[in-house]
Amino acid sequence: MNDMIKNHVESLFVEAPTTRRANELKDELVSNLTARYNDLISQGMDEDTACKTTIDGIGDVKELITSLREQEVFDPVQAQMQRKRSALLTSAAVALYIVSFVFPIFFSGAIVGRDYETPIGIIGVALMFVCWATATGLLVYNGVSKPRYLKEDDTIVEDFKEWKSDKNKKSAILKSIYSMVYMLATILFFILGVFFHAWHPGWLVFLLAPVVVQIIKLVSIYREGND
Amino acid sequence: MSIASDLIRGHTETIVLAQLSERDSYGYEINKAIQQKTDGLFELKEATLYSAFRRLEQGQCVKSYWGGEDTGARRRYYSITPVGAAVLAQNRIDWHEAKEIIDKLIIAEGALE
Repeated sequence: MNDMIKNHVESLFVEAPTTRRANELKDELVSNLTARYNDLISQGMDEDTACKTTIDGIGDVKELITSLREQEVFDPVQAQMQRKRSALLTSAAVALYIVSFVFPIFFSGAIVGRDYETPIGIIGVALMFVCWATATGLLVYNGVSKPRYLKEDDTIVEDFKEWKSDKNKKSAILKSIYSMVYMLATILFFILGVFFHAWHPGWLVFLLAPVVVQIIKLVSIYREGND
Repeated sequence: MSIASDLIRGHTETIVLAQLSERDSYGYEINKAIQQKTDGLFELKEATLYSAFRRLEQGQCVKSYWGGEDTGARRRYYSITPVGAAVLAQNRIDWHEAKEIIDKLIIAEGALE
């Protein structure tokens, strides 16, 4: 008798697209109809009447089937908004990087002939670092919070799109890690120079940074291979 | 009955939200509760119920999750979200207002006493 309900639901879904959502709806329908059927039987109804009553209770599924054909995954308005937000975050970050150089210039030697070591000169450098940190934070946030492409159904194309989106996201995260390494190297260079007067061996951090980046790259490739 | 259910149809979503505000539930359980509350006078067609679920889910009024198996098939549960609770509260107010207005307009004088 359960088969009859199942077959009936199958026949209702003949026109429906074969997506994951349609299958889930089918499962849900069968499970609830079966519960209803069992309930009717336990109330003493005979099998044929119970089956008929259950099937009659489904009603007109036309609207439901039509709704399965609508595309919900891609919402152009939302996508547009996310693009705008992402552009805004990136431009703000870039602007911060550029503006950051104003502080050490303004607070120190370049204008009033003071050295970096004076308290005011240090404030300038510190403000620049704060700008860099904020800007990098914005870039990382932008990369991580970008929406992940959710696959709409179980076709190969959708699988590919999801895989590609995951891959893009991963590489966005990696890219922000790389930029962080370079930024830390710069910060380190300035700290070594300003506080320890070690400008000379200090510049070596810029040779070290690409090495660190390559190591991160290797580790990530190695881990991907293991997955 | 059929005319009454036409009048009720516009409130399907509110009815479903009201059921879910009591506890998380699944399709058949909701329909059964509706039947029991109305002494068998009203029940939703399955198709109507799932269309309502879909619209509510799109409007972020409910969330769904797969619960345990019971009758051999997976069972999808629904729970009300804060948005859904707000919508329900507003719909209750709207309904009371509409009811009062319609009562005033269509019930003959003195018939209410």
